[in-house]
Amino acid sequence: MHITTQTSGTLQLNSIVKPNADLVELHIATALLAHSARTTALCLLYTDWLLSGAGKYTRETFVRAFSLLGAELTVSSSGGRITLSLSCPQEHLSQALKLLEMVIKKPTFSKTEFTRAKKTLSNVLTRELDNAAAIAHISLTETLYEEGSHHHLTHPKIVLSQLASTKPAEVLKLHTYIWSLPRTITVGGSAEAVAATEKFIKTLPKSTVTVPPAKIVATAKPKRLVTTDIASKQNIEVAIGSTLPFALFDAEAPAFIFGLAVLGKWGGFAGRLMSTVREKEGLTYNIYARTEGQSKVSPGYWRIRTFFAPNDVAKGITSTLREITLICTQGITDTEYKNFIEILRSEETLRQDSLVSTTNLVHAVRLLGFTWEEYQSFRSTLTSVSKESVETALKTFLDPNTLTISAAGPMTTAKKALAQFAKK
Amino acid sequence: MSKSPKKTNTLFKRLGTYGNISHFEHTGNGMRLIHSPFTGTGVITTNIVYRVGSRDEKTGETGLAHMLEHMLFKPTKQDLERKSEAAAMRFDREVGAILNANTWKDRTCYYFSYPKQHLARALTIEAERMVDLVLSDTEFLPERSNVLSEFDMYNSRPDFTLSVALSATALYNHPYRHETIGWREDIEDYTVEKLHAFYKKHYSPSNATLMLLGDISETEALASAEEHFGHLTATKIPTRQYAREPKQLGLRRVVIERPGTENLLAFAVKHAGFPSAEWYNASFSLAVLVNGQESLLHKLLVDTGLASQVSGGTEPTQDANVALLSISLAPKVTHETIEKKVLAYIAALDKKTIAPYVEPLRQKMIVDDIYARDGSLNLAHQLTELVAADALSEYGCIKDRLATITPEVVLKTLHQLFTVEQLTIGYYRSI
Repeated sequence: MHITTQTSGTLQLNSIVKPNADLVELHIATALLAHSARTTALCLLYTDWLLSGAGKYTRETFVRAFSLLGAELTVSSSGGRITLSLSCPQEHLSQALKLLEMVIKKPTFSKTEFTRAKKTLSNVLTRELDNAAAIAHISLTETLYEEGSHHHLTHPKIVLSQLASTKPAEVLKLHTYIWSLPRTITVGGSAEAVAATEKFIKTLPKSTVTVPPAKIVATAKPKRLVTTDIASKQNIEVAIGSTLPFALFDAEAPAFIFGLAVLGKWGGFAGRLMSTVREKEGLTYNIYARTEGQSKVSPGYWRIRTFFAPNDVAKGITSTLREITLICTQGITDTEYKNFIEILRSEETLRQDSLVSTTNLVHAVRLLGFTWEEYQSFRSTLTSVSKESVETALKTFLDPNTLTISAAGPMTTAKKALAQFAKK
Repeated sequence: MSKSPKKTNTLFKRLGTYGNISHFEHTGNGMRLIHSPFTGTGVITTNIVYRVGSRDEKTGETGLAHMLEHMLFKPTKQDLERKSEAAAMRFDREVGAILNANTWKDRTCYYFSYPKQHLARALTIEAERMVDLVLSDTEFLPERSNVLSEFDMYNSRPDFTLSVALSATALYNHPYRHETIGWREDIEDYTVEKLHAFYKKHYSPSNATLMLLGDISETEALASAEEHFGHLTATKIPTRQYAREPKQLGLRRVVIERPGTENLLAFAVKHAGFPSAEWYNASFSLAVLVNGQESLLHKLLVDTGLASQVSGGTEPTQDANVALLSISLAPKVTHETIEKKVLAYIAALDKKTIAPYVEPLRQKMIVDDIYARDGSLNLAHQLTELVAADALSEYGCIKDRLATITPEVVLKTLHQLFTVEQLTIGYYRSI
């Protein structure tokens, strides 16, 4: 597959050409919107309401029109952006793009559909109140970052309370604003499909605004322990983490990312946490670590995600903290260092096994702010860091004394067991 | 067990070619092989499917196939001789291969996706653990804890708990009635001896299909498979038992009550085995009912605020089975109200209401089938279920299978599936 990335003013355009591809994958993502609970609620509403009819189509006939082409259009709100994603067979691309243009330029935005979308979203958010894994993560970010800060995720109960007072006019205003923002567009398919899509992109509304960098303000004194009682669950979901002061393009990033992968590579069994907490001690089914929220120029945080049975939560967290302390104080072994160079190289090869995965990868890279060449350079640095720099980065930034533990689940018995972790 | 010297001739006979898939069988030990090329990606996916699943377990030993799947990531005889950890785990830890396994009703599969230079290593792992796994309490007891942990993870979900109870109530005799992971009580009672007996009974080249998909030619695939598996001896695999389900004589119900906030209503409907025409009819018709925003029950319940989600569908199982349709109720909406509403709605359906849904869904399913083959790993997942049902010839046939489905067929099928006397209805109530 041939990958090209280019930036022209406020447009980042990326293409992945796979000869003879019979599928097309297209993503259109906005620049970051300023973060607030209200914006979160409006964006979630927008993702439904936008698809509720356009031009001569009702919501029903519009979805049907896409389906008849074998195409699918989704609109999502995540990480402070709105993304439109189109999956389509090559043979029907031009018709799908006409429908897409209609969605963007002539959405119906009927009041009836607004009421329906609001009710549907309310029901979904009510269900999310029980999502202990998400709640543990959200609670972690609430203590790490100031409210209004980009990485401070919004609790579903807050979104629900904002949702109640939303008005159609606000979402209409959001629509106009979204299509004035800079955007990142990535298309994967045959050369003909890519050419057709690039032609379509020229018909989109022009970006007329610039956006300031994301506001990221860490709290001065994050809590050591945060617990949320979700009595309906059987397990305690856990998120452990802390802020990082560097962005991906900073010198410290590759070494720290390498070291964090050794500790808890996300997915699979290679990370130390999986070998110890899961395999040797049998305390959990999965336990992984990664950095979150970083971009080329903005800092983020690191997070461990896992769960434990209520009776095992103290043991599980103790074991996890032990492993964090060990890797900080004793570093990584020569074998781990050698293995992870290979693992991180393989990771890139495997990510490009399919057209869809390659398109998604390139798109994600561009949203981070990298050109494809910068990203290749970043990966090259990542797989050639020195063992010493990895150990220095871990010692400096993975301090077990400054992390936060967030737990969500049935707290009747677990709360007492967790209390010991409130102190360092 | 030593490897035979590398041979250039293979002993695989071609069974068939389906589009870009070639299917072979080893004339010595009966192992099947599937090859499909993805030139220039630099990636190979190997996937080995054993014809053993939860349906092959007896009462008191449910979940054994799944437990054994976990154990296949433990050391083999060769690993112990090398004094190293399990080769399968080392593959991930040294190379970063994508690897995993899963067990289902009719089969168990193990897959690796990796840069192509590691082919020999991947095949060595599969050949060794096919016949030389060492089962000991040292490895087994912590892993059993992990499986119990996995059980608790699933059991934490109301939809899982309800689906387990529904299947066990809807089916009296067929082993599809128990969930793949098994009952917790059975998991707690596993022993190494039970696992060993199950392993010896079902793990053999004659009970396996190896897939070699990706940046590898057919010639190399056949030669590599022969090199690594050709010398293995087939063992006698017991004849699979088939249990017939007794005729259901009336509506069945199950109620689960647990502390919580979520309320679910679910229907278990009985359908024919895959890949019969009746299975395709049932699969399509249920998708018209619950698949996505453009589905009948989504409009009836989600769009009107009565539910937050509807979902469900058939499984491509070889024998007749139950499909589960699940509805997450909105706050303050009762199970009884929605049960009555759904059944009345389905009973009153007509061709005119169904007609606009048929062609869009047909197109969507045809394209979804194409997307499912984007990349060697995705293709491996798709082919696994065809192999499990001994239905590889179905590959690429979705368009033909769906071509005969009309609004009349959908209507008739839904009315048959939802005949009240054949239903099992489940309530999950939060208290």
